[in-house]
Amino acid sequence: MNHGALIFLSAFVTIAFSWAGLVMTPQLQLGRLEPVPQPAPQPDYPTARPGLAQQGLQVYRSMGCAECHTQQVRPEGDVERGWGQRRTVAQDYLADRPLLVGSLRLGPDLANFGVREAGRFAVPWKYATETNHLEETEAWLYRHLYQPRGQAPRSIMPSYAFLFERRPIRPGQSADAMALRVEEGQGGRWPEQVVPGPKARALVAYLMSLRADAPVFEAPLPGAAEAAAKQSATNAPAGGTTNQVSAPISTNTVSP
Amino acid sequence: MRNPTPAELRPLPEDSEPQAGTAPTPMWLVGLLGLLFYVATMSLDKQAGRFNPRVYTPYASFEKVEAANPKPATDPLFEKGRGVYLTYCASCHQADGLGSPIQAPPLAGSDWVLAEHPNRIIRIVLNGMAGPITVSGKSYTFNNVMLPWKDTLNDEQIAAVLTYIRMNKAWGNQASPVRPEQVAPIRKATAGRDTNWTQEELLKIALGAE
Repeated sequence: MNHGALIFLSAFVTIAFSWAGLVMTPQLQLGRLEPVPQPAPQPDYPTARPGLAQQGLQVYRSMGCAECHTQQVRPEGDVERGWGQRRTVAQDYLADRPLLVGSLRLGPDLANFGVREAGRFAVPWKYATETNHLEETEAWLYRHLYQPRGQAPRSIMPSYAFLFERRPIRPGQSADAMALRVEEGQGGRWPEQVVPGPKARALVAYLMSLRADAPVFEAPLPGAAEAAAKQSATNAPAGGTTNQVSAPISTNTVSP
Repeated sequence: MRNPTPAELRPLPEDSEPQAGTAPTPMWLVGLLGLLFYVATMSLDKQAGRFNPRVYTPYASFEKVEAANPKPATDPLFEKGRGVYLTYCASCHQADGLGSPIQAPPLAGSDWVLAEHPNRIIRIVLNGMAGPITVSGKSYTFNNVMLPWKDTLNDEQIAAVLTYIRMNKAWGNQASPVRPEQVAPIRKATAGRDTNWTQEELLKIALGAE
């Protein structure tokens, strides 16, 4: 019984078929996505991340954050949880290379972590601040990275204290604005402060750049169509379909 | 636990080789599988959005995605018509649609433009216009003629520019849009014509006639 050729052929056909369905077809369909044009003052979506945030993506990758955090808002449940206004689609990941969607949720989803509107946060616990200024949120995030249980008592996130540095405060210097802790110098030494290192700063810049809330065709914001219809009904733009005739053509007379 | 007896250790007789019998495939199984295939295909057809890359759950088809998106504030044909108008028409009729006293009659507020049916102005754009014309009660006589645009503009461009002219609220115009399907039959009907229209000829054509 020598069916080597047959076995090889069936294995080849099976693999080729699944490759065509799972790799080639999605590539043909989504391989040439372009950023979505947005109304005038906004840049097209998604934009490339600014430099520090781009470095932060590499920190996010090297620290293995994607092992426990996803960046994917699912259509069911996640919107109700407040993890995003809409589901995420392929368009949202155009600026990410490598793609860090993640597959396991030991921590909360981070797809909309950078959305800072008060009362709407991408994390299940709420930040302590009322106004959610960028600096306040960043300070919260530094403290959370340094000592997760200090901010969220039931968090199982490991501490990333090694991303922070101890620096002496020299005479005439004041403590860094982002310093997490200031220790009095013992025995005549200079006092020391714990400040975020370059990797922590890059990581926080990356996390603050995460947002998937721009309207895209595939996943319109809920209620957008109704709101636009209501607005066009009251505002009456130039493209209505009303058929008003100001003067009937029959008044045309042949000039003598 | 006892040891096996010699009789139990003896191998089975070798003449009783098991044989695979043949049995016909039961027809009910074929029918059931066919039914399952049918239901699966119907379900795929209904919910897979025809594998369109722009359709994601919870939307089941491209039409549903489109319905959930806000409509553009203006007709896309209107926006297209703005470009056509500024390229070809504005040099005589002016960007504000008020025309020019030596070249072209006004389009803003014109009773020709705002007529219920656009069949006459489609003819004007296709074959051009010559001779005196009365617009909104005022007589105009120009030395030049309006050029025929049937070789330059296709049906969609003519429909777009007429939509732009008829629906331009900035000019005070508010009439129905013109669709390319309205231009095509008139282009076909006037295919043999190679002279400009005159007012007398156009007024003989009933409004709404093709």
